[in-house]
Amino acid sequence: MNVMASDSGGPGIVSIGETPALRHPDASCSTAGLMAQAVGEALRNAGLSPAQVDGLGVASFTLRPDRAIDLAWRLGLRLNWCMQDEMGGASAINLLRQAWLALAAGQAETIVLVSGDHFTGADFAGLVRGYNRTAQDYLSPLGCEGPNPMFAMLTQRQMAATGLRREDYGALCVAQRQWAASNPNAAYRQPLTLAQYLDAPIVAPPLSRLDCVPVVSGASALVLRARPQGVHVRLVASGARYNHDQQEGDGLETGIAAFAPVLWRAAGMGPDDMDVVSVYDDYPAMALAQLCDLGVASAGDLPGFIARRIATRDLPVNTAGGQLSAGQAGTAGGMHGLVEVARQLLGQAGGRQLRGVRHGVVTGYGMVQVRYGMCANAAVLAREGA
Amino acid sequence: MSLNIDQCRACAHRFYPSRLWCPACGHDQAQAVAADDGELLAWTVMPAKGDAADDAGPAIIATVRALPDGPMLVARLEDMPTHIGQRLRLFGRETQGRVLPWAGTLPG
Repeated sequence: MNVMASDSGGPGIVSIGETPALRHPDASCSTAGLMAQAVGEALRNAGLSPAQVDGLGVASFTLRPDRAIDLAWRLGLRLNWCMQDEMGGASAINLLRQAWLALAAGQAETIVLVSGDHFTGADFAGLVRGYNRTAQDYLSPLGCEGPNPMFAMLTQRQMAATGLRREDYGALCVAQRQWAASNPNAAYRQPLTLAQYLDAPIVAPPLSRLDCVPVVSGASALVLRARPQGVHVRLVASGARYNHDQQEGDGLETGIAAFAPVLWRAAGMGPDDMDVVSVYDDYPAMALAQLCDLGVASAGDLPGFIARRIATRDLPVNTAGGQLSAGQAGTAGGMHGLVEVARQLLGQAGGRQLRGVRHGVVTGYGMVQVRYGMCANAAVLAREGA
Repeated sequence: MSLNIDQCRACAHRFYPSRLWCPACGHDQAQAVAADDGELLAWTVMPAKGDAADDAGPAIIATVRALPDGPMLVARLEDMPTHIGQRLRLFGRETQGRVLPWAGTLPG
Protein backbone atom coordinates (compact mmCIF):
# COMPACT_ATOMS: atom_id res chain seq x y z
CA MET A 1 0.00 0.00 0.00
CA ASN A 2 3.02 2.22 -0.51
CA VAL A 3 3.38 3.42 3.06
CA MET A 4 5.54 2.04 5.87
CA ALA A 5 4.01 1.11 9.19
CA SER A 6 5.57 -0.37 12.31
CA ASP A 7 4.40 -1.65 15.68
CA SER A 8 5.80 -0.90 19.11
CA GLY A 9 8.71 -3.03 20.24
CA GLY A 10 10.74 -2.14 17.15
CA PRO A 11 13.38 0.53 16.48
CA GLY A 12 13.20 3.98 18.03
CA ILE A 13 14.68 7.47 17.94
CA VAL A 14 16.48 7.81 21.27
CA SER A 15 18.05 11.26 21.06
CA ILE A 16 18.61 14.38 18.99
CA GLY A 17 21.31 17.01 18.56
CA GLU A 18 21.31 20.37 16.81
CA THR A 19 23.77 23.22 16.46
CA PRO A 20 22.78 26.87 16.67
CA ALA A 21 21.71 28.23 13.27
CA LEU A 22 24.55 30.59 12.40
CA ARG A 23 23.70 33.60 10.26
CA HIS A 24 27.29 34.86 10.22
CA PRO A 25 29.58 31.94 11.06
CA ASP A 26 33.24 32.70 11.68
CA ALA A 27 36.02 31.68 9.31
CA SER A 28 36.74 28.42 11.15
CA CYS A 29 33.21 27.08 10.50
CA SER A 30 32.93 24.00 8.26
CA THR A 31 30.15 21.63 7.22
CA ALA A 32 31.92 18.61 8.72
CA GLY A 33 32.67 20.52 11.93
CA LEU A 34 28.99 21.46 12.34
CA MET A 35 27.97 17.86 11.69
CA ALA A 36 30.43 16.59 14.29
CA GLN A 37 28.97 19.04 16.79
CA ALA A 38 25.39 17.84 16.16
CA VAL A 39 26.38 14.14 16.18
CA GLY A 40 28.41 14.61 19.37
CA GLU A 41 25.48 16.25 21.13
CA ALA A 42 23.05 13.55 19.99
CA LEU A 43 25.40 10.76 21.19
CA ARG A 44 25.95 12.49 24.56
CA ASN A 45 22.19 12.85 24.97
CA ALA A 46 21.83 9.12 24.32
CA GLY A 47 24.70 8.19 26.65
CA LEU A 48 26.50 6.53 23.73
CA SER A 49 30.07 6.66 22.49
CA PRO A 50 31.09 6.82 18.81
CA ALA A 51 32.33 3.21 19.12
CA GLN A 52 28.73 2.06 19.63
CA VAL A 53 27.54 3.56 16.32
CA ASP A 54 27.36 1.08 13.43
CA GLY A 55 25.23 3.05 10.96
CA LEU A 56 25.51 6.54 9.46
CA GLY A 57 23.16 8.42 7.13
CA VAL A 58 24.24 11.81 5.80
CA ALA A 59 22.47 14.62 3.94
CA SER A 60 24.43 17.66 2.74
CA PHE A 61 25.01 19.90 -0.26
CA THR A 62 28.32 21.32 0.97
CA LEU A 63 30.19 18.35 2.42
CA ARG A 64 31.90 17.91 -0.96
CA PRO A 65 34.43 16.77 -1.94
CA ASP A 66 33.86 14.49 1.07
CA ARG A 67 31.02 12.01 1.12
CA ALA A 68 29.27 10.08 3.91
CA ILE A 69 32.07 7.55 4.17
CA ASP A 70 34.71 10.28 4.43
CA LEU A 71 32.72 11.84 7.27
CA ALA A 72 32.58 8.41 8.92
CA TRP A 73 36.37 8.21 8.73
CA ARG A 74 36.81 11.70 10.11
CA LEU A 75 34.48 10.79 13.00
CA GLY A 76 36.21 7.45 13.56
CA LEU A 77 33.04 5.45 12.95
CA ARG A 78 33.32 1.78 11.92
CA LEU A 79 30.05 0.96 10.20
CA ASN A 80 27.83 -1.84 8.96
CA TRP A 81 25.46 0.59 7.23
CA CYS A 82 26.24 3.89 5.46
CA MET A 83 24.05 6.02 3.23
CA GLN A 84 23.95 9.44 1.65
CA ASP A 85 21.02 11.50 0.42
CA GLU A 86 20.97 14.78 -1.46
CA MET A 87 17.23 15.33 -1.81
CA GLY A 88 17.19 18.62 0.08
CA GLY A 89 14.09 19.16 2.17
CA ALA A 90 13.00 15.55 1.67
CA SER A 91 16.32 13.99 2.68
CA ALA A 92 15.72 13.69 6.43
CA ILE A 93 12.52 11.64 6.23
CA ASN A 94 14.01 9.73 3.31
CA LEU A 95 16.96 8.72 5.50
CA LEU A 96 14.65 8.00 8.44
CA ARG A 97 12.63 5.55 6.34
CA GLN A 98 15.75 3.75 5.13
CA ALA A 99 17.32 3.66 8.59
CA TRP A 100 14.13 2.19 10.01
CA LEU A 101 14.16 -0.64 7.48
CA ALA A 102 17.84 -1.29 8.15
CA LEU A 103 17.33 -1.48 11.92
CA ALA A 104 14.27 -3.68 11.58
CA ALA A 105 16.17 -5.97 9.20
CA GLY A 106 19.16 -6.31 11.51
CA GLN A 107 21.59 -4.49 9.22
CA ALA A 108 22.61 -2.17 12.06
CA GLU A 109 22.04 -1.65 15.79
CA THR A 110 22.68 2.07 16.27
CA ILE A 111 22.30 4.53 13.40
CA VAL A 112 23.14 8.23 13.45
CA LEU A 113 21.42 10.43 10.88
CA VAL A 114 22.97 13.84 10.33
CA SER A 115 22.33 16.70 7.96
CA GLY A 116 24.26 19.92 7.75
CA ASP A 117 25.43 22.68 5.51
CA HIS A 118 27.71 25.69 5.73
CA PHE A 119 27.39 28.42 3.15
CA THR A 120 29.17 31.57 2.25
CA GLY A 121 27.13 34.01 0.13
CA ALA A 122 28.93 32.93 -3.04
CA ASP A 123 28.40 29.22 -2.25
CA PHE A 124 24.68 29.76 -1.93
CA ALA A 125 24.37 31.80 -5.13
CA GLY A 126 26.30 29.11 -7.00
CA LEU A 127 24.15 26.33 -5.51
CA VAL A 128 20.85 27.87 -6.59
CA ARG A 129 22.06 29.04 -10.02
CA GLY A 130 23.28 25.56 -10.92
CA TYR A 131 20.85 23.60 -8.69
CA ASN A 132 20.14 21.12 -11.48
CA ARG A 133 20.40 21.03 -15.27
CA THR A 134 17.09 22.82 -15.74
CA ALA A 135 18.16 25.67 -13.45
CA GLN A 136 21.57 25.88 -15.09
CA ASP A 137 20.50 25.72 -18.75
CA TYR A 138 16.98 27.20 -18.76
CA LEU A 139 15.71 29.01 -15.68
CA SER A 140 18.79 30.90 -14.50
CA PRO A 141 19.68 32.22 -17.99
CA LEU A 142 16.05 33.33 -18.34
CA GLY A 143 16.44 35.50 -15.22
CA CYS A 144 14.45 33.09 -13.03
CA GLU A 145 17.15 32.41 -10.49
CA GLY A 146 16.69 30.39 -7.30
CA PRO A 147 13.49 29.29 -5.64
CA ASN A 148 11.99 32.73 -4.87
CA PRO A 149 10.33 33.36 -8.28
CA MET A 150 8.86 29.84 -8.34
CA PHE A 151 7.30 30.17 -4.93
CA ALA A 152 6.23 33.76 -5.59
CA MET A 153 4.11 32.44 -8.47
CA LEU A 154 2.75 29.56 -6.37
CA THR A 155 1.88 32.04 -3.61
CA GLN A 156 0.12 34.34 -6.08
CA ARG A 157 -1.96 31.39 -7.28
CA GLN A 158 -2.68 30.19 -3.74
CA MET A 159 -3.91 33.70 -2.84
CA ALA A 160 -6.20 33.72 -5.89
CA ALA A 161 -7.50 30.20 -5.14
CA THR A 162 -8.06 30.48 -1.38
CA GLY A 163 -8.55 34.17 -0.56
CA LEU A 164 -5.40 34.26 1.59
CA ARG A 165 -4.05 37.79 2.04
CA ARG A 166 -0.55 38.91 2.97
CA GLU A 167 -1.87 39.53 6.50
CA ASP A 168 -2.70 35.81 6.80
CA TYR A 169 0.77 34.68 5.76
CA GLY A 170 2.07 37.32 8.15
CA ALA A 171 0.06 35.83 11.03
CA LEU A 172 1.73 32.45 10.37
CA CYS A 173 5.20 34.07 10.32
CA VAL A 174 4.46 36.00 13.53
CA ALA A 175 3.30 32.77 15.26
CA GLN A 176 6.44 30.91 14.22
CA ARG A 177 8.61 33.77 15.46
CA GLN A 178 6.88 33.52 18.84
CA TRP A 179 7.88 29.85 19.01
CA ALA A 180 11.45 30.77 17.97
CA ALA A 181 11.75 33.05 20.99
CA SER A 182 11.96 29.88 23.11
CA ASN A 183 14.50 28.19 20.82
CA PRO A 184 18.04 29.26 21.78
CA ASN A 185 19.34 27.82 18.48
CA ALA A 186 17.07 29.94 16.25
CA ALA A 187 18.65 32.59 14.03
CA TYR A 188 15.82 35.08 14.68
CA ARG A 189 14.25 35.18 18.14
CA GLN A 190 13.15 38.78 18.63
CA PRO A 191 9.37 39.32 18.42
CA LEU A 192 7.96 40.05 14.97
CA THR A 193 4.88 42.23 14.56
CA LEU A 194 2.40 42.02 11.72
CA ALA A 195 3.30 45.63 10.84
CA GLN A 196 6.97 44.68 10.53
CA TYR A 197 6.02 41.74 8.33
CA LEU A 198 3.90 43.94 6.05
CA ASP A 199 6.67 46.57 5.83
CA ALA A 200 9.41 44.11 4.85
CA PRO A 201 10.98 44.74 1.44
CA ILE A 202 9.44 42.83 -1.46
CA VAL A 203 11.88 40.40 -3.07
CA ALA A 204 9.61 38.83 -5.72
CA PRO A 205 5.98 39.94 -5.49
CA PRO A 206 3.97 38.88 -3.56
CA LEU A 207 6.88 37.53 -1.46
CA SER A 208 8.74 39.78 0.93
CA ARG A 209 12.02 39.08 2.64
CA LEU A 210 10.14 37.66 5.65
CA ASP A 211 8.41 35.04 3.46
CA CYS A 212 11.84 33.66 2.57
CA VAL A 213 13.95 31.50 4.85
CA PRO A 214 17.17 33.04 6.13
CA VAL A 215 20.18 31.09 4.87
CA VAL A 216 22.20 29.82 7.83
CA SER A 217 24.95 27.34 8.59
CA GLY A 218 24.08 24.51 10.93
CA ALA A 219 23.54 20.79 11.46
CA SER A 220 20.95 18.45 12.96
CA ALA A 221 21.26 14.84 14.09
CA LEU A 222 19.19 11.92 15.36
CA VAL A 223 20.24 8.64 17.01
CA LEU A 224 18.15 5.56 16.29
CA ARG A 225 18.52 2.16 17.93
CA ALA A 226 17.17 -1.25 16.97
CA ARG A 227 16.23 -2.06 20.57
CA PRO A 228 15.74 1.22 22.41
CA GLN A 229 15.48 1.32 26.20
CA GLY A 230 13.30 3.82 28.08
CA VAL A 231 11.63 6.80 26.45
CA HIS A 232 11.96 6.82 22.69
CA VAL A 233 10.11 7.82 19.54
CA ARG A 234 8.60 5.29 17.18
CA LEU A 235 8.00 5.74 13.49
CA VAL A 236 4.33 4.76 13.34
CA ALA A 237 3.87 5.20 9.59
CA SER A 238 5.38 7.12 6.71
CA GLY A 239 4.81 7.79 3.04
CA ALA A 240 6.69 9.43 0.18
CA ARG A 241 6.18 10.51 -3.42
CA TYR A 242 8.85 11.47 -5.95
CA ASN A 243 8.01 13.27 -9.20
CA HIS A 244 4.40 12.32 -8.56
CA ASP A 245 2.91 14.60 -11.22
CA GLN A 246 5.84 15.08 -13.63
CA GLN A 247 5.79 18.87 -12.88
CA GLU A 248 2.65 19.06 -15.02
CA GLY A 249 0.25 19.64 -12.13
CA ASP A 250 -0.86 22.47 -9.96
CA GLY A 251 2.13 22.73 -7.61
CA LEU A 252 -0.14 23.85 -4.77
CA GLU A 253 -0.84 20.21 -3.96
CA THR A 254 2.26 18.21 -3.01
CA GLY A 255 2.75 14.45 -3.28
CA ILE A 256 1.64 14.23 0.37
CA ALA A 257 -1.99 14.54 -0.71
CA ALA A 258 -1.59 11.36 -2.77
CA PHE A 259 -0.63 9.18 0.21
CA ALA A 260 -2.18 10.97 3.22
CA PRO A 261 -5.37 8.88 3.45
CA VAL A 262 -3.35 5.64 3.37
CA LEU A 263 -0.81 7.10 5.81
CA TRP A 264 -3.47 7.85 8.41
CA ARG A 265 -5.10 4.46 7.90
CA ALA A 266 -1.74 2.72 8.40
CA ALA A 267 -1.06 4.84 11.48
CA GLY A 268 -4.43 3.99 13.00
CA MET A 269 -4.78 7.69 13.76
CA GLY A 270 -5.96 10.85 12.09
CA PRO A 271 -4.82 14.48 11.83
CA ASP A 272 -6.86 15.38 14.93
CA ASP A 273 -4.78 12.96 17.03
CA MET A 274 -1.58 14.93 16.43
CA ASP A 275 -0.27 16.87 19.44
CA VAL A 276 2.57 18.54 17.51
CA VAL A 277 3.15 19.20 13.81
CA SER A 278 6.20 20.18 11.75
CA VAL A 279 5.63 21.08 8.11
CA TYR A 280 8.43 21.99 5.73
CA ASP A 281 8.21 25.78 5.63
CA ASP A 282 10.48 26.93 2.85
CA TYR A 283 7.72 29.47 2.22
CA PRO A 284 4.47 30.13 4.15
CA ALA A 285 2.40 29.06 1.13
CA MET A 286 4.05 25.63 1.10
CA ALA A 287 3.61 25.16 4.86
CA LEU A 288 -0.11 25.77 4.34
CA ALA A 289 -0.24 23.53 1.26
CA GLN A 290 1.24 20.64 3.26
CA LEU A 291 -1.15 21.22 6.18
CA CYS A 292 -3.99 20.92 3.64
CA ASP A 293 -2.46 17.83 2.02
CA LEU A 294 -2.16 16.11 5.42
CA GLY A 295 -5.80 16.88 6.15
CA VAL A 296 -4.85 19.05 9.12
CA ALA A 297 -6.31 22.16 7.42
CA SER A 298 -8.91 22.71 4.73
CA ALA A 299 -8.24 24.83 1.66
CA GLY A 300 -11.78 26.14 2.05
CA ASP A 301 -10.93 28.30 5.07
CA LEU A 302 -7.19 28.84 5.41
CA PRO A 303 -7.44 32.39 6.81
CA GLY A 304 -9.76 31.09 9.55
CA PHE A 305 -7.46 28.12 10.21
CA ILE A 306 -4.46 30.39 10.70
CA ALA A 307 -6.37 32.75 12.98
CA ARG A 308 -8.11 30.09 15.09
CA ARG A 309 -5.49 27.35 15.32
CA ILE A 310 -1.98 28.53 14.41
CA ALA A 311 -1.94 32.07 15.82
CA THR A 312 -3.55 30.86 19.08
CA ARG A 313 -1.21 27.82 19.39
CA ASP A 314 -4.33 25.64 19.57
CA LEU A 315 -2.38 23.51 17.08
CA PRO A 316 1.38 23.64 17.77
CA VAL A 317 2.99 23.95 14.31
CA ASN A 318 6.74 24.38 13.76
CA THR A 319 7.42 24.85 17.46
CA ALA A 320 11.16 25.57 17.08
CA GLY A 321 10.30 28.54 14.86
CA GLY A 322 10.48 26.62 11.62
CA GLN A 323 12.95 27.50 8.94
CA LEU A 324 11.29 30.90 8.54
CA SER A 325 12.60 31.98 11.96
CA ALA A 326 15.18 29.37 12.97
CA GLY A 327 16.84 29.48 9.54
CA GLN A 328 17.47 27.05 6.70
CA ALA A 329 20.83 25.31 6.94
CA GLY A 330 20.64 23.77 3.46
CA THR A 331 19.66 20.11 3.72
CA ALA A 332 19.61 20.45 7.52
CA GLY A 333 16.46 22.50 6.97
CA GLY A 334 14.83 19.20 6.10
CA MET A 335 15.85 17.67 9.43
CA HIS A 336 14.94 20.70 11.54
CA GLY A 337 11.25 19.79 11.75
CA LEU A 338 11.92 16.09 12.35
CA VAL A 339 14.36 16.89 15.16
CA GLU A 340 11.83 19.25 16.75
CA VAL A 341 8.95 16.76 16.77
CA ALA A 342 11.29 14.07 18.15
CA ARG A 343 12.54 16.56 20.76
CA GLN A 344 8.98 17.36 21.84
CA LEU A 345 8.02 13.68 22.01
CA LEU A 346 11.18 12.87 24.02
CA GLY A 347 10.27 15.71 26.40
CA GLN A 348 13.48 17.67 25.79
CA ALA A 349 12.14 20.92 24.32
CA GLY A 350 13.02 23.11 27.31
CA GLY A 351 11.08 26.37 27.52
CA ARG A 352 8.80 25.43 24.63
CA GLN A 353 8.05 21.86 25.79
CA LEU A 354 4.41 20.98 25.18
CA ARG A 355 2.58 19.03 27.88
CA GLY A 356 1.35 15.50 27.39
CA VAL A 357 2.50 15.13 23.78
CA ARG A 358 2.14 11.56 22.51
CA HIS A 359 1.86 11.86 18.73
CA GLY A 360 3.31 14.09 16.06
CA VAL A 361 3.57 14.37 12.30
CA VAL A 362 6.45 15.74 10.22
CA THR A 363 6.66 16.51 6.52
CA GLY A 364 9.52 16.98 4.10
CA TYR A 365 9.38 18.71 0.74
CA GLY A 366 11.91 19.82 -1.79
CA MET A 367 14.01 19.60 -4.92
CA VAL A 368 12.52 22.19 -7.25
CA GLN A 369 12.71 21.04 -10.84
CA VAL A 370 11.15 23.25 -13.47
CA ARG A 371 8.21 24.64 -11.44
CA TYR A 372 8.06 23.30 -7.87
CA GLY A 373 9.35 20.63 -5.50
CA MET A 374 9.41 17.05 -6.80
CA CYS A 375 9.83 15.25 -3.47
CA ALA A 376 7.38 15.09 -0.58
CA ASN A 377 7.20 12.77 2.39
CA ALA A 378 5.71 12.55 5.85
CA ALA A 379 6.22 10.56 9.04
CA VAL A 380 3.81 9.95 11.92
CA LEU A 381 5.73 9.55 15.18
CA ALA A 382 4.72 8.43 18.68
CA ARG A 383 6.30 8.61 22.12
CA GLU A 384 6.94 5.18 23.59
CA GLY A 385 8.04 4.00 27.03
CA ALA A 386 7.68 5.68 30.41
CA MET B 1 11.52 33.22 -33.96
CA SER B 2 8.92 30.72 -32.93
CA LEU B 3 9.26 28.73 -29.72
CA ASN B 4 9.73 25.04 -30.37
CA ILE B 5 8.64 22.40 -27.90
CA ASP B 6 8.81 18.59 -28.09
CA GLN B 7 5.89 16.47 -29.25
CA CYS B 8 6.11 12.70 -28.85
CA ARG B 9 5.89 10.89 -32.21
CA ALA B 10 4.00 8.01 -30.57
CA CYS B 11 1.47 9.55 -28.17
CA ALA B 12 1.61 13.27 -29.16
CA HIS B 13 2.32 14.33 -25.57
CA ARG B 14 3.90 17.81 -25.54
CA PHE B 15 6.71 18.73 -23.16
CA TYR B 16 9.39 21.33 -22.49
CA PRO B 17 12.27 21.30 -21.84
CA SER B 18 13.42 18.12 -23.63
CA ARG B 19 13.57 14.84 -21.68
CA LEU B 20 15.47 11.64 -22.26
CA TRP B 21 12.30 10.08 -23.70
CA CYS B 22 8.59 10.88 -23.61
CA PRO B 23 7.58 11.28 -19.95
CA ALA B 24 4.07 10.06 -20.76
CA CYS B 25 4.74 6.88 -22.78
CA GLY B 26 8.51 6.31 -22.88
CA HIS B 27 8.83 6.55 -26.67
CA ASP B 28 12.25 7.92 -27.61
CA GLN B 29 11.41 10.03 -30.68
CA ALA B 30 9.97 13.50 -30.51
CA GLN B 31 9.47 16.19 -33.11
CA ALA B 32 9.81 19.92 -32.64
CA VAL B 33 6.52 21.78 -32.94
CA ALA B 34 5.82 25.48 -32.52
CA ALA B 35 3.99 26.77 -29.46
CA ASP B 36 2.49 30.15 -30.34
CA ASP B 37 -0.32 30.83 -27.89
CA GLY B 38 -0.43 30.77 -24.15
CA GLU B 39 -2.52 31.49 -21.08
CA LEU B 40 -0.97 33.30 -18.11
CA LEU B 41 -1.23 31.31 -14.87
CA ALA B 42 1.01 33.39 -12.59
CA TRP B 43 3.78 35.97 -12.68
CA THR B 44 6.36 37.70 -10.55
CA VAL B 45 9.19 40.17 -11.00
CA MET B 46 12.84 39.53 -10.23
CA PRO B 47 14.86 42.66 -9.45
CA ALA B 48 17.54 43.95 -11.81
CA LYS B 49 20.82 42.19 -11.22
CA GLY B 50 22.98 45.27 -11.49
CA ASP B 51 25.54 43.65 -13.79
CA ALA B 52 26.18 44.53 -17.41
CA ALA B 53 24.27 41.55 -18.86
CA ASP B 54 22.05 41.96 -21.91
CA ASP B 55 18.89 41.88 -19.84
CA ALA B 56 19.97 43.75 -16.75
CA GLY B 57 16.52 45.24 -16.03
CA PRO B 58 13.89 43.62 -13.80
CA ALA B 59 12.82 40.25 -15.20
CA ILE B 60 9.09 39.52 -15.41
CA ILE B 61 8.80 35.75 -14.95
CA ALA B 62 5.59 33.87 -15.73
CA THR B 63 4.04 30.42 -15.55
CA VAL B 64 2.29 29.86 -18.86
CA ARG B 65 0.07 27.10 -20.20
CA ALA B 66 0.72 26.68 -23.91
CA LEU B 67 -2.57 26.47 -25.80
CA PRO B 68 -4.33 24.31 -26.74
CA ASP B 69 -2.43 21.19 -25.55
CA GLY B 70 0.29 22.37 -23.19
CA PRO B 71 2.89 22.08 -21.89
CA MET B 72 3.28 24.28 -18.82
CA LEU B 73 6.21 26.63 -19.31
CA VAL B 74 8.21 29.11 -17.31
CA ALA B 75 8.66 32.07 -19.66
CA ARG B 76 10.00 35.60 -19.53
CA LEU B 77 7.48 38.34 -20.33
CA GLU B 78 8.44 41.42 -22.35
CA ASP B 79 5.73 43.56 -20.77
CA MET B 80 3.81 43.63 -17.49
CA PRO B 81 0.61 41.56 -17.49
CA THR B 82 -2.61 42.69 -15.86
CA HIS B 83 -4.44 39.53 -14.79
CA ILE B 84 -4.31 35.76 -14.36
CA GLY B 85 -5.81 34.13 -17.44
CA GLN B 86 -4.46 36.80 -19.80
CA ARG B 87 -3.73 35.55 -23.32
CA LEU B 88 -0.07 35.56 -24.39
CA ARG B 89 1.86 35.25 -27.64
CA LEU B 90 4.79 32.86 -27.12
CA PHE B 91 8.09 33.16 -28.96
CA GLY B 92 11.70 32.06 -28.66
CA ARG B 93 14.39 34.65 -28.03
CA GLU B 94 18.11 34.16 -27.75
CA THR B 95 18.94 34.82 -24.11
CA GLN B 96 22.46 34.39 -22.76
CA GLY B 97 23.35 32.28 -25.79
CA ARG B 98 20.28 30.01 -25.70
CA VAL B 99 16.85 30.19 -27.33
CA LEU B 100 14.46 30.36 -24.40
CA PRO B 101 10.68 30.90 -23.96
CA TRP B 102 9.45 34.49 -23.97
CA ALA B 103 5.94 35.88 -24.26
CA GLY B 104 4.15 39.13 -24.90
CA THR B 105 0.73 40.04 -23.57
CA LEU B 106 -2.34 40.22 -25.80
CA PRO B 107 -5.44 42.27 -25.05
CA GLY B 108 -8.17 40.32 -23.24
